[in-house]
Amino acid sequence: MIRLQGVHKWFGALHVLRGVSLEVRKGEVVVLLGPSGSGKSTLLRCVNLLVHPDAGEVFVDGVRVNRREVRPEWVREQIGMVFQSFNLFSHLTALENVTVGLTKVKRVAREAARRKGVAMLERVGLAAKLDAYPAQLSGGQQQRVAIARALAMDPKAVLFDEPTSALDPEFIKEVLDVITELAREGMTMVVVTHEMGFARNVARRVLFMDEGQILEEGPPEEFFASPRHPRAQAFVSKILG
Amino acid sequence: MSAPQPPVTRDWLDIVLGASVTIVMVVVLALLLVGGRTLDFGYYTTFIGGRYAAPVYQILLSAAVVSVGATVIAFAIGLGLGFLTGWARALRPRPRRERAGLHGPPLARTLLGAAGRRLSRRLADFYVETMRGTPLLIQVVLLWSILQTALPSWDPTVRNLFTGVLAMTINTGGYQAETFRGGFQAVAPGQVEAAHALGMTRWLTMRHVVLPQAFRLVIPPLLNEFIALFKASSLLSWIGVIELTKVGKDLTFVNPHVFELFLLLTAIYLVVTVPLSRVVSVLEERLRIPGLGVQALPRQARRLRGRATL
Repeated sequence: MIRLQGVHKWFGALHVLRGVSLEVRKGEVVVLLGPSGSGKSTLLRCVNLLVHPDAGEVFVDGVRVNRREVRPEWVREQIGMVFQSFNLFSHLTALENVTVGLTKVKRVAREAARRKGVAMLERVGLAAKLDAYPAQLSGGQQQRVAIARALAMDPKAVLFDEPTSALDPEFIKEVLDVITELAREGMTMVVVTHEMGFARNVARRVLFMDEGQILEEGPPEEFFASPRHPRAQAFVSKILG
Repeated sequence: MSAPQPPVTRDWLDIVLGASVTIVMVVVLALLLVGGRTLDFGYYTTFIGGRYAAPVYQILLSAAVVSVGATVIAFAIGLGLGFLTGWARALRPRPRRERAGLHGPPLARTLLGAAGRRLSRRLADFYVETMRGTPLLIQVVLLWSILQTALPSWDPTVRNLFTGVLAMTINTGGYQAETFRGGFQAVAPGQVEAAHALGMTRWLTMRHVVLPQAFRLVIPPLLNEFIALFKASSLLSWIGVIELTKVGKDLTFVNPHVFELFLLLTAIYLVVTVPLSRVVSVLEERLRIPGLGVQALPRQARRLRGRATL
């Protein structure tokens, strides 16, 4: 579904991604772990071309997407993204946030978009908040709206960039529950997170990144029990205490 | 047990006090300036001959139409100019490697796009700096001297008015560009990224995410700009446009009652500017995004607004 081959990215003189290759199969949930500054977010953004790789190839559904003939908007339309800081459009209601992509990008008729938006918000448990503005919602509710916004586009895969890092502890579970449910329904997902419990329970595979490279990958049980790379060992012992 | 009541407010007291202070001040000023003679308000209906050939108040009213009209036209066209220039100035140059075009549009278009972005940014910078960095009066006279030679066959009255409105348009466009740029850049970059992530193009993002939010932010500064521009329209008197200030100046040559004349001029300028700040308060209230910003009670909001206009 998603394949990256030898991806490099520089920010100025900073070499953020140093030849990253990765494959995510349909219906798979992959969790990206690693210390901050290791390039996880940049890698995620390379998949939907919010960041353009300087070298390497990105494939989505078998199509090489980082080339001139492909409009990045076309790629982004097919891949949902959920951000750490929610990034809801603050002048739109919850429902409008969910439908704006449908009506403006996919040009779905207003009534159909509305029905779909309502269904998506029901799915994340926010049927009662259709007309609320983002500033009137809790962090957990905002993030669930953001998930509904991504799902409404019928994405082939969804990227999560630390979806619970900006949340107060009492709201983390409601968001993780939604993402877990999504995983059960077979959505293809790449998740950057520091929630180890979530990584253990939901991920099929865990990738450990540091300094712009993927140093280790494997099933979560194996990775957390016996990491092989020294830096992975240091990371795991730090977060598991 | 009754619930605590909000304290009784006395808006009318404020108004009465403010009004009496103003009246007393005007009377004192009048006595100081006019000295022993009595105020001559009958002067307003005095017929002035020669070039103007109308009563004083009529001359002033038609001049007011010119002032307001010039301001409205210049401001409206300046809006478009300011929007585009502000957008150009808000564009951030992309990192070199992305411009080199490993993918995205064909290389030629990418290079052209990069050069275009750069050039439009530079041009916009130059434009804004020139407009902000020089007095409007200089701009007006300079443009007048240019159009004087460029359009020699035009009727001088028409040409002068055209010159004045054009100078005001270009000038206000520069100021409005800064306002728009500020508004665009105040919209959270995360929301722009989210819009792109949904598959929105640059234009769709501008139209549906940035603009609706920036619009709310730029209303108060744009209104300030309108008021400033209206007052600055008095500079057109320099190139012979028959607007309020020019008329005021001319009339002092035929009648020595300067105080009455300029009192009326003051009133005319105020009649235009004061209601405008009211309009903006109403607009702001109406466009407020629920949950964002200070949630004032209606009554408090009204009182706060009253203060702001004093």
